[in-house]
Amino acid sequence: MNFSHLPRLAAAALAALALAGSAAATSIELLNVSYDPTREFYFEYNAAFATHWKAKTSDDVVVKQSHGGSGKQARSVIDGLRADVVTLALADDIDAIAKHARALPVDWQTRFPHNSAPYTSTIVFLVRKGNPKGIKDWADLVKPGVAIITPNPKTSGGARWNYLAAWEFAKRKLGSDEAAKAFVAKLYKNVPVLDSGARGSTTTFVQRGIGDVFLSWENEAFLAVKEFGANKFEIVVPSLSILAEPPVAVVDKVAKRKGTAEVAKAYLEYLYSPKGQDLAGKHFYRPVDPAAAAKYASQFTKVELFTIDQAFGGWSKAHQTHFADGGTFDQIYLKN
Amino acid sequence: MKSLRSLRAAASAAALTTLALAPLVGRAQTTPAATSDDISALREQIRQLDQKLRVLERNIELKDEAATAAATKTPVVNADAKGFSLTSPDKKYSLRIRANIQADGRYYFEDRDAGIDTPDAFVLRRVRPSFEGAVAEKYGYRLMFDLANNQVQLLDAYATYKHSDAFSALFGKTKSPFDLERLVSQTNLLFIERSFPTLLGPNRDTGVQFYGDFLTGRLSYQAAYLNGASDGANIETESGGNDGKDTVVRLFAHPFKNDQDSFLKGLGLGFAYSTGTREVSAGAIRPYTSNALVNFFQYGGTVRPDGSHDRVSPQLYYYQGPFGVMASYTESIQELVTTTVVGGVNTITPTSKRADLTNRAWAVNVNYVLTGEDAAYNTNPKPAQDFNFEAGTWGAWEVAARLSQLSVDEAAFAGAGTGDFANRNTQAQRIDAYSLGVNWYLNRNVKASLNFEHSEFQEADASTADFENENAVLSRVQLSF
Repeated sequence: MNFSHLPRLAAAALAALALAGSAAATSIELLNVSYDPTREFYFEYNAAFATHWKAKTSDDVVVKQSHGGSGKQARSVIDGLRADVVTLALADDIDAIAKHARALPVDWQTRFPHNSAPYTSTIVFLVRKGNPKGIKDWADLVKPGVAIITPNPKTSGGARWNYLAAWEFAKRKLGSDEAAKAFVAKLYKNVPVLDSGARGSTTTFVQRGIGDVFLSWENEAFLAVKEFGANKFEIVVPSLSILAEPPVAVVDKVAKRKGTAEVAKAYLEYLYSPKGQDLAGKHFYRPVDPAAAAKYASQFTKVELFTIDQAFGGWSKAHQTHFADGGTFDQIYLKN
Repeated sequence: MKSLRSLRAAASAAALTTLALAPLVGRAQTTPAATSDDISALREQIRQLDQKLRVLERNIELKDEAATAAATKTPVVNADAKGFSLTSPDKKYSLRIRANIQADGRYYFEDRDAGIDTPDAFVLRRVRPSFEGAVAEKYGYRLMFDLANNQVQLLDAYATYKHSDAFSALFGKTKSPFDLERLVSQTNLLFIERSFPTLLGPNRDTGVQFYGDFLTGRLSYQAAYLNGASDGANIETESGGNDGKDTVVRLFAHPFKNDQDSFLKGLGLGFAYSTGTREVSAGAIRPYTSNALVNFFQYGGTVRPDGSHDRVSPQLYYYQGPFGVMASYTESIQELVTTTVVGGVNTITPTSKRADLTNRAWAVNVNYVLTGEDAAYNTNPKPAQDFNFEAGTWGAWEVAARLSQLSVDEAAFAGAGTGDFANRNTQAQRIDAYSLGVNWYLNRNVKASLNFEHSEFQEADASTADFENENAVLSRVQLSF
């Protein structure tokens, strides 16, 4: 028997295998670790992206979702939750992942347009139908007998936006940080329940019937009204609120290991596409694309918005001053 | 939570009833009718009360959620009769700390050799801390030391991998899977000392083992490829290196294990076989001892293994309720050679004698738990009630009896002078032993034992003076967890 042709046969078989591998469609799984109120949006967006990716590459992509308080979610990723992408409530939480897990570069925010925030939102008040406590602005929240529902700023990104919005309102109205601190302290005296995330607070206010006003993500407030009926709740837009920019990022360390870096990047890029922006608007986020923003402008009440950079010098400084151990929240809440 | 909801409902109902009845009561007592302000105030009170209860409920709910979430992240610390352990919430990682302390007393009434008086003694027979557990779910480990006799010995040190019930692997040092009684844990021994078949089988050895169960647990197998240990010895006691290796195979069946109503459910029977070659230094073969740990046979100082070493061991046990019986037979066939000291080294010379010697041992022991608890292989009876003098409860009590014998190949004593391989004037050719025992299990961790050992010796040379019988009482207090 002549074995001289065996090496060539083996090489041909390997090449055929390799070609077969590249020609066959593959199935990819991504994990998107997000914050509480994005569930419904990403549920629809994931299906849209899967269709888009299938058409583009023939590959199947399944995106799994994980939701919770933004700070809590960031902690899970730092502790080893294998997220390909994170879509969290605030940049500070992704900064923490970059700093503590070294899972992505510290300049992650420069990788996508608009500081990696494909949509924005703000904080509004959700009150019960008829607004029995007559709540119109931040000042009404500190009145005696008003029960406020807001999550815990230690674990929830949304709660941090609430906290800072209240602080800035008081500072502008009362003139100093000290006065603002006293105002926020008074506000938290009216908080009977501190959930760990925005969705928990929605449950507390909407389903458990607790409280007079819920400091809510704008999209979460719209969702509650849509789901439970305009005959039960009303949205009150305060005179001043904060421009919330929930950012997104690829978790390089995980995506590289799983071989999903390319699809993870495409997944987040697609958020900026007309389809992604349209879905954001549909789910009551404020799209950054002018065309989509114009399409959905009518559903959002005009409100004066300030940014975290303008009022607090960025997230890092805001975190250190207000939410780090021993920060103003601890001072206020532990004292309460 | 349910009671809070009931309370809320009751409070609301009571308040509403009050509201409804207020006008009637007012009329009946001819007091002024409740004004709309009064009603509004009451309604507001109800609302506040309702809110307070809802807040209370929700906070309890959140507290429970937090506790549940924390439980999934908090390692489980356990301290019970099985020892002290630490387990990760997903149970993939664990550490169990265990220990066994055996404090023995030995009292010799008569010795084999009238010229020797074996000293009575209190001894720490075993002082063994051990650490075992799991790593990454499928991997396991165990480390066990012995600190008795003022020295530190590493007895067990191995890693395991479990693929399935049918296949697991063990790498490192532990008991060779050969002898039935040897495989009984030190803490679960029926008698204070194991019997003669264990003297002809290997003890702890280093290498690789594979094991598993088939037929829903009715058939188990163990296969090992090991450095090779002398009869009754750990690998360390071999003073020279052994280039040859031992292959050990053991099959054990429980044919009626799954037949719940069968009278034979507790029957187990098996067979072990080992084969290998051994070429180690002279004097490396461990002496044989009576059940009271007194030497009765030892090869001559110039004898060494040099060639094949095979062993076979049929074995069985049967347990039914408080009754148990265990029996095993071991045959050890070993090629030995005599050496001559040349230049300070034991050397095989043309005048060396060579022989395949076959030594045999068997033992049968029976036990009965007087207090009715179940007897089982490698398990101490679990007392239905722990010993408590004040409460008048006495733990579990067990009686046991054993017959055993070990005989050395008569060819060992053949030859010129006092014998080629063993001195027929000083070494016994056979021992017959009769043992009686009582075990008191005070609880699952403390056990006290008392044994009477009677041994009779047969001389290799009928012309020499008779050996005396040996009578001894052994006692033990054991604490283990």
